[in-house]
Amino acid sequence: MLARVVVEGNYSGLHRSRKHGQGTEFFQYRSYEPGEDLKRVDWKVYAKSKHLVSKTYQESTHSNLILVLDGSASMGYQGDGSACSKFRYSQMLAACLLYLGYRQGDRLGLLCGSKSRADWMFPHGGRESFNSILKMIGSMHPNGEDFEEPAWNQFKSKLPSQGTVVVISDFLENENQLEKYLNFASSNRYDCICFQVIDPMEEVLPQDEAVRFIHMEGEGEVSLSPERIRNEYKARFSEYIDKLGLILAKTGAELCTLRTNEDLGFAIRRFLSVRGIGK
Amino acid sequence: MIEFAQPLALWTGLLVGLPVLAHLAYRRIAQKIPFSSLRFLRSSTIPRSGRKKPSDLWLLLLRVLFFILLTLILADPYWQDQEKVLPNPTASSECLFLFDTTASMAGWGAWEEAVSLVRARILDGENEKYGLLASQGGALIELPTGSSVADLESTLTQISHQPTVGGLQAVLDHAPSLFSQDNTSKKIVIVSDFQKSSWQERSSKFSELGIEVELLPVGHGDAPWQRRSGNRAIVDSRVASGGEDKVRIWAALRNWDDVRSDVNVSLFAGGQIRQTVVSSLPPLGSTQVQFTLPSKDFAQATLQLDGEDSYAYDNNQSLWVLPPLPRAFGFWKSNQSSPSDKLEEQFLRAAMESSGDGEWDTWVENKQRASDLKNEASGRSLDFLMVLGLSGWFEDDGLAPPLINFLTNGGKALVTPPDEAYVRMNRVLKKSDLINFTFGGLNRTAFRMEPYRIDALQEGNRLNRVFSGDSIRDLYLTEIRQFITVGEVMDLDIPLRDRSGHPLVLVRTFPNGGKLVFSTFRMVPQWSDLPMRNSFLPLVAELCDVKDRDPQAGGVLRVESGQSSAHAELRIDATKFGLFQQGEQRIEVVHPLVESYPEVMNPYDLLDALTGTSTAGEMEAEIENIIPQESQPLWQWFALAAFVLLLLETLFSAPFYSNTQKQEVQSA
Repeated sequence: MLARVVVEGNYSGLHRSRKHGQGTEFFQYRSYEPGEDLKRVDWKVYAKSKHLVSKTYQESTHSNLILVLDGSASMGYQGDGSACSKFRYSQMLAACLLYLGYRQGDRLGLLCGSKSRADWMFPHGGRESFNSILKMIGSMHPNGEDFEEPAWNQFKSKLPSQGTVVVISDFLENENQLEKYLNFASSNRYDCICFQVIDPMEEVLPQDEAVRFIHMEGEGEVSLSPERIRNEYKARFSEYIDKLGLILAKTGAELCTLRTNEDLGFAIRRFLSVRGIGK
Repeated sequence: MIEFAQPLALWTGLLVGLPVLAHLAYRRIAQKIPFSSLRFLRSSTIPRSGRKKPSDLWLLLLRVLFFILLTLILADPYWQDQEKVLPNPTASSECLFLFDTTASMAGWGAWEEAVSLVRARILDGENEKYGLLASQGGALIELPTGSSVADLESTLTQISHQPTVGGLQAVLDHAPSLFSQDNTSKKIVIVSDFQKSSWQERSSKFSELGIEVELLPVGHGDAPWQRRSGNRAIVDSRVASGGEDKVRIWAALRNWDDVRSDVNVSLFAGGQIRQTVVSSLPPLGSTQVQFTLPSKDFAQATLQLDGEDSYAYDNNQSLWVLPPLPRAFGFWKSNQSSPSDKLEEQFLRAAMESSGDGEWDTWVENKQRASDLKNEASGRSLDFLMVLGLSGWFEDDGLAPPLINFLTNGGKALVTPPDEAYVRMNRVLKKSDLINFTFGGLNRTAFRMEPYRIDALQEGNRLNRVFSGDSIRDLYLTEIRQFITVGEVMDLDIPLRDRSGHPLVLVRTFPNGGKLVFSTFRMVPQWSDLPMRNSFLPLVAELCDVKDRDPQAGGVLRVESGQSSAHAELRIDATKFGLFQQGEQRIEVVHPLVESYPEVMNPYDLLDALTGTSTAGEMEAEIENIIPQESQPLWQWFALAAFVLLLLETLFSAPFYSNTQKQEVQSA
């Protein structure tokens, strides 16, 4: 992934893939350097300040960053002691990643929603696209069930020819279908990284004496004493995450599990470090 | 104040123990938590634990209150104004108290309440003139309006309820005459328990006379004009033969309440309790109990219901336990008796003596009375008379008038023809106007010829009640060898005919149940083989209708107290319960059954009947004045409160829904 950024985006740092020069979108002023093309000098500024400054423009990298954000009801879970729900955490994570992409000049696309309602934005570059996607993410509320096959098929049919796909979800259902849904990741034209966002309480269960759990996405409910099944539950949950990693590895996607009580910067670093692994 | 129509239902209040038990023992309700995935969860047992949270205590309180309210609803609460409207003398200046003194006033504390209320009103009233009217022992005790308070109080202590029924209409009819002729407002206050049987046929037209009517119910307890409770009664009793040397006594008991009741019934005889039977009386139902006593050891016995009872008059009943006197029969025959007369007399005596059961209900021949009957101008000293071989001697002895007297007084007689001189017989019968038919000669079976036989009984013939199967075959096989041919029968029943349609028996019915049976053949083997047959005994008894005993024929006459006018000839004081005897007639004066009935009149209907008006507006206005303030049912309010509690309980008891939405970071 990092190599591709370097090749196609004149990348000079981990998140400095921006190419200044022939682009069309104004980026910033800087002091005129002798030898530079005089067309870049902003003469209006010179007339006012008697200083030669040249305008720099941002160029598109032609790299696509497509986010898939799970908006199903289970993402709305927030355990005791958590600062926010999984979905809110995912929203913030998505915003960070989008900002990174925007700073790098990537074209940004988004698939978000749930089984009942899926919103798709084809990748575009620029601030407006960035703002639109942020607005779209901000207005979402977790509801309904996970994406199912028709939504994924539609998504895949609209994917650009290449790019980076970031999937943010709790991945608690339909893990056996992921291999099929994410089969595009096996192509070398795409990079796919999956952020699994979970609430710490989902790993250890609440401390209550007697609880009746109600499925957030369906009809079922289970009455139990968390104390009595906690160890068994933790083992099963851990086993599941291991299994999920293996499934995603098969598709060529990478799994990164994040807890909502973890620092977001840490999450970004992990993201970048994951991206840096390929370097 | 709040009262309850069904106070027993308050026992259901013990149900409040249920929520307390549940609170102590039942497991806590699990807290509801929406969770992202259930796939890693499995259900497990939830530990039981006592409730400790204050919110749980509120829940317990709610549930206890709910059950209390439920209990109160079941007890049918109502609001009863405490102030009694009864002592409310109006502005009328003449007021006449009419006392109901029928037997039912002895129960439910009615009489004591009546005297107390009336005394209080007499003493409280200042500008009113009071009078009093009551029936006592068949006479009217009356004090016109304006009588002195001393007289009124004195009379109040003298009068009392009577163990009789009736007399109320006479009191009502006589009441207007006790008012003065002055142009003052007049008012009649009827003091009664208004027992339904006593009042349902009473009527008057006091409104037309300008007299106001006030009903003053007594003995109604806390529920005026409602059905009363707490009465059980002996409603009937009978004595019969209980086999050898025993008398069987049974009594019918009645429970007027709508709950089952167990009672002890004791039989007193010879001053001691001879037997006690425990009986379970079904709600609003009857049952029977039986006793046995040694026969002839006791003349009287008394049945008694033990225990508390709202109305005591009907808890005792005395009865005669002696067998009824034997019934008497006798013969009239010619002084020069023929062998046929003697043989016939012998057969018929055997028939009659075997008619009874030989022990309890017996027949004996009484020659003296039969002889006395010939000289009696009226009366019925014999129960059955047989005139054998009626012929000229009957006319010579002048026996036709006493026989007719006997028959018209309800007597029963059998007449058989003589051996000869049939024309004379026919003439005597016609002349004395005993029985009117035309003599047609003698039918006699020739030597070795087929005898005459009895024809099949017609439908509707009363003999069909007795004869069927083998017995009717025996009757049809009876040989009639000779009989008198009867023609032109006038107004007579012919229960038996031969197969050619000739009458074999003629029956003439007299007023008062008298019956003359004329047999066209003699009860001797020369005329018929009937005396040799099994059907002989029942045929004679049925034809002459002597099977059932006349209640006054040496038996026991039962009279309800106060009904003596229907038996004026008895000359007994039938206003008291008990056992009496006049000559051989035994009499039982018993409690009038209708007085046991606990229902009371509808005040609206009663006022309508007494005032002679039916104007609804006026009536309601009067009722407002008479009936204590109607109770206001409260169950709707209790039900509403219970519903609110149930709603709150549902809200509180629902598992707490975990709300995980907390303060979040609002921006990325």
